[in-house]
Amino acid sequence: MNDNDAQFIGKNALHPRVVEKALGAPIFAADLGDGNQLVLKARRAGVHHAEIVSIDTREAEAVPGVVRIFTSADIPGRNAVGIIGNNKDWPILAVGKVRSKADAVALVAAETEAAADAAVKAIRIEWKELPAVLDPEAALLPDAPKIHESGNLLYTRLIKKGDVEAGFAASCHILENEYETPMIEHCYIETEAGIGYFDEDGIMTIEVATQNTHYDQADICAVLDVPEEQLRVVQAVTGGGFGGKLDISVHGFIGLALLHLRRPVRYFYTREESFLASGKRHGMKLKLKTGVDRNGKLLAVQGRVLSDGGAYGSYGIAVVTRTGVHLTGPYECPNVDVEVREIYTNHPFCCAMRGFGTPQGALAHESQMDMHGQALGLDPIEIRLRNALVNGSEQATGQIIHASAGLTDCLKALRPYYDEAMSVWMKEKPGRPSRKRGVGVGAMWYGCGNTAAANPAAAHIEIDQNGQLTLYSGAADIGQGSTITLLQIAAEVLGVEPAKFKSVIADTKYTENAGASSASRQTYISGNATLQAATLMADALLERAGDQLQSPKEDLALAGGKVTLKSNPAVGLPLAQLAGSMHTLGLPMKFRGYFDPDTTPLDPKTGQGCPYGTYAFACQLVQLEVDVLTGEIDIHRVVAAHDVGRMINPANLVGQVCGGVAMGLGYGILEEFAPGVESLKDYHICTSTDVPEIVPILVETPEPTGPFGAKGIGEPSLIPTAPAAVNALEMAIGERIYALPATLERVMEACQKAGWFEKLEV
Amino acid sequence: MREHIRYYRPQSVAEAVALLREHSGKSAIINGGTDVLIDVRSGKFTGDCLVDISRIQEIKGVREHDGAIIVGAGVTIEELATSRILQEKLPALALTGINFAGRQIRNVATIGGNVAHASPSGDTQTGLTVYDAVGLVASSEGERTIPVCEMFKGANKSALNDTDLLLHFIIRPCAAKYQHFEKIGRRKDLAISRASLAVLIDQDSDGTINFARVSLGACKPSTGRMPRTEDFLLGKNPRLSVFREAAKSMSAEMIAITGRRKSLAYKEPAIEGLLLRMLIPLL
Repeated sequence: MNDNDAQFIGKNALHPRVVEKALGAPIFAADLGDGNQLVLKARRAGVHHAEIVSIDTREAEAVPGVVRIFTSADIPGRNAVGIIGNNKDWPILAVGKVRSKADAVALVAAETEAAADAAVKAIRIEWKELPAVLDPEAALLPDAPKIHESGNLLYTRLIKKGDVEAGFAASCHILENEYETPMIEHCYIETEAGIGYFDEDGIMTIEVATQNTHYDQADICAVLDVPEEQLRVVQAVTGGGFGGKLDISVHGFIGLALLHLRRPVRYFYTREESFLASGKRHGMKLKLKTGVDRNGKLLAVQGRVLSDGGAYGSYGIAVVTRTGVHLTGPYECPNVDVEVREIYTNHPFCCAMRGFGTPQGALAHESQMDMHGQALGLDPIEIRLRNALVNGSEQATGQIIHASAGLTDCLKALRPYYDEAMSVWMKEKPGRPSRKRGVGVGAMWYGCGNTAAANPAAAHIEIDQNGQLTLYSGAADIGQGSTITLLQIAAEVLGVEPAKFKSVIADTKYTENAGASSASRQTYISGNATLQAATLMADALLERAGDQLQSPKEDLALAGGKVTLKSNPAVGLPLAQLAGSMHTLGLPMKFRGYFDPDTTPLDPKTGQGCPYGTYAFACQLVQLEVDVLTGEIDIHRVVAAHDVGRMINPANLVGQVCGGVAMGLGYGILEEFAPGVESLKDYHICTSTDVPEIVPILVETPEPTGPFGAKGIGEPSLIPTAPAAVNALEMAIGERIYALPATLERVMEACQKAGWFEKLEV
Repeated sequence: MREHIRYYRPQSVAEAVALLREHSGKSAIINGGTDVLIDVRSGKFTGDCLVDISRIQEIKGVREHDGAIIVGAGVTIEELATSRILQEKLPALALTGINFAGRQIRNVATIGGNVAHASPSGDTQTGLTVYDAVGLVASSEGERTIPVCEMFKGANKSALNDTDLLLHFIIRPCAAKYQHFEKIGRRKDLAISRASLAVLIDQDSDGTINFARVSLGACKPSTGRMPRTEDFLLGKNPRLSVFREAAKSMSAEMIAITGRRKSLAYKEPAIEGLLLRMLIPLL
């Protein structure tokens, strides 16, 4: 199919529930239920690291309205969860010791919120405090207290290619710098929330804000020691995830209470509990050494990264693997030597967050790239063009990128904006003499899908005897719009408007596993599964129509809810009629599609292998003003060029780009989960007034293995923003900032270093 | 917990004052509620009654009286920012309302509440103290005036009694040609001031500074004027080097009050920069 033929691909279509959301309809988990559910509330440790000497629940049990208080002794199955591999290191309720302030020690079920709160406070716990390990470097010292029996080093990812020493020897410009990135909080608008009940078949059901119902089901079944057919997990309408709703939060508590009490229950985190108990983005310390030849071509990249994983593994192994794989940046480099280590500390556990370890690395490689360019007199676009991965390039793990390497196109799209910013905007006089302007560029690449692991998705499309089409997909739509994207793909194949489909999404009773809505994978992976299901459905419909119309299949087309003759479009059969006859004949009415990207495992010693089926590319331009006397930053504009393979829903893509930029700016200049931070009152994310004009540019370089050529966008949108902002700050101030976020304090320090107070002229 | 809190909505100052006396020690005054309701929810408020003064007409509005400007304690921050009288006669005070918190808060929070809460970061305090504003307070003992700069005993500690009701502020307009206020926040909206500064400067025809007032907020336990900095500026001719010295003088004056604290690493250069940037237009 060529672009001009597309009916629904590349066109905007409304998300199925967008109107309800816009009107504030009560559709989220906290709105569900009849109000008579028991209230659940966890008692959390409040100490970093301690042995539990005793838990006394007598006083709490006496609180009027308290139904039951659970401790780890009430867990019938495996009291440990965790998504990556077999690293099940996180108890639902603490056993013997706690490893972070957020660890849940007991769970209260009560008739009212007030009773639950009172009981939580009345639980008496006797601790024997252990020394807390709050620094990943200290955690690796031989005499450091062990947070887990297995030790504090959870995982090491190595990527080795070529000979870095030879690469540095041949380099004409070498840079070695240290970078630091903070833990940050996801700040989804909806906190963790879920309800539990027995469904119409009497099955225990957890309806929960989540990014992956099928993982939830598997781990909670193990915790409760029940078979999967006895636990249903349904995704509630979810108000944002960003990776933070991939882990077990309220689910385990809801399951435990349902199992024992056989009564409907609910658990919603307050914002304070969400800040305390949810996972964070990994804070990292990165040392990066890079060498380029006299043309600016990268010859060697050597990286050493320490990642603070907090108390539990969660996605940490996958996060550091991705940091390692992506640490060269979206550039060719023949010699690579990278080591990334994931460390346990007594900090809050760190998990997936939009970008999975890639944003941390991007700060380092994009800062280095700018400095190399400056040293060689190449502007930031030119040096990136010289190094960009292109079709046929071999990346750090030895994989050849055969197609859809769109960085060059993105850089070319950004070029006029950069030139205009430099030649016009930079020449203008800012409103006051203390304001200095800067323009910065950041680029990124991002593998779509889980790293070097099977990560399939299945999808089904069904037609009933009246011609009603239904999509069944396990892909959780967390607000990013995966459902409409999948529907548009099915619609294109079947010639039926997306709005005419029904959809059943992320419900373990009705949908097959599609994996997590993470890793920017659902458009690519569930998109392909949906495409295959729709194609099989189309074949069946065309075959049936061919029989009825006595026409060869080649002369048939699906459009407008009918099968028509290409040779005589006036002749056609409505789908309802075809479906009716298929039903009468007992023909299959439901078709399954499946896709698993072509990957191979990475060699444990060298990291060589094929980690992803395809990659997204992007670069962004940030224009900003800094008040060099006070350190205040005013972002003027962000231009974001993103290679999406092929657009499925442009408005959706623009939404993802703008959201990612807003979040990326927060990562760049505001956000830090520091000790003492309790809620949004002391944790600053961008407000609408902080977000500048954003110019999204969608670049199409069709991916041959993608559905209609499409790739992912969710995470790429955030990754280049913070590095571009840091590079722009360097231009404005004349000094570089190596640690995120570029707070008032850090910017002021750079301005002082540059001597602006003394040298400012009027 | 909230069900135990009684709620009163007096219609007059007299009624409010009587209620405050009756519930002394257990009450809080509420108007916009942007501070009080947070304390109620967090449990920091341990009293048992709220006296809502939002319907009392006597504490509303901005007016001129006898050469002074009277700003009601019940004037919202949005009214403060948009009042024509204030923009014209007390511009440095009106400016404190421009990017105070966020729009929703500006619509309900009041100048009286901002002062009574005695937060070291309260923006209106900077604007009030630079004009030497005086507050009129009512209690069952009668009415009395207190300079705003004497209303703070320390960070978040008001010198007002819990039986006191702040009625309005009395502010003499200033003839200084340059009247300005600026704040530094971590972001553009909904950010507590890291530093705020109000300045009133007047000059002779040859440029010599003959009148200088500087009030610094969010940098010390109580907001208020910086007399040594003002003295430094008096009699000086505007030059960049002089203003740099003035800025250094102000940070030294601040440090003399606060001592060396961790936050100084930023605040010291930042207030120097802020004052310098605010004085540059005089060059």
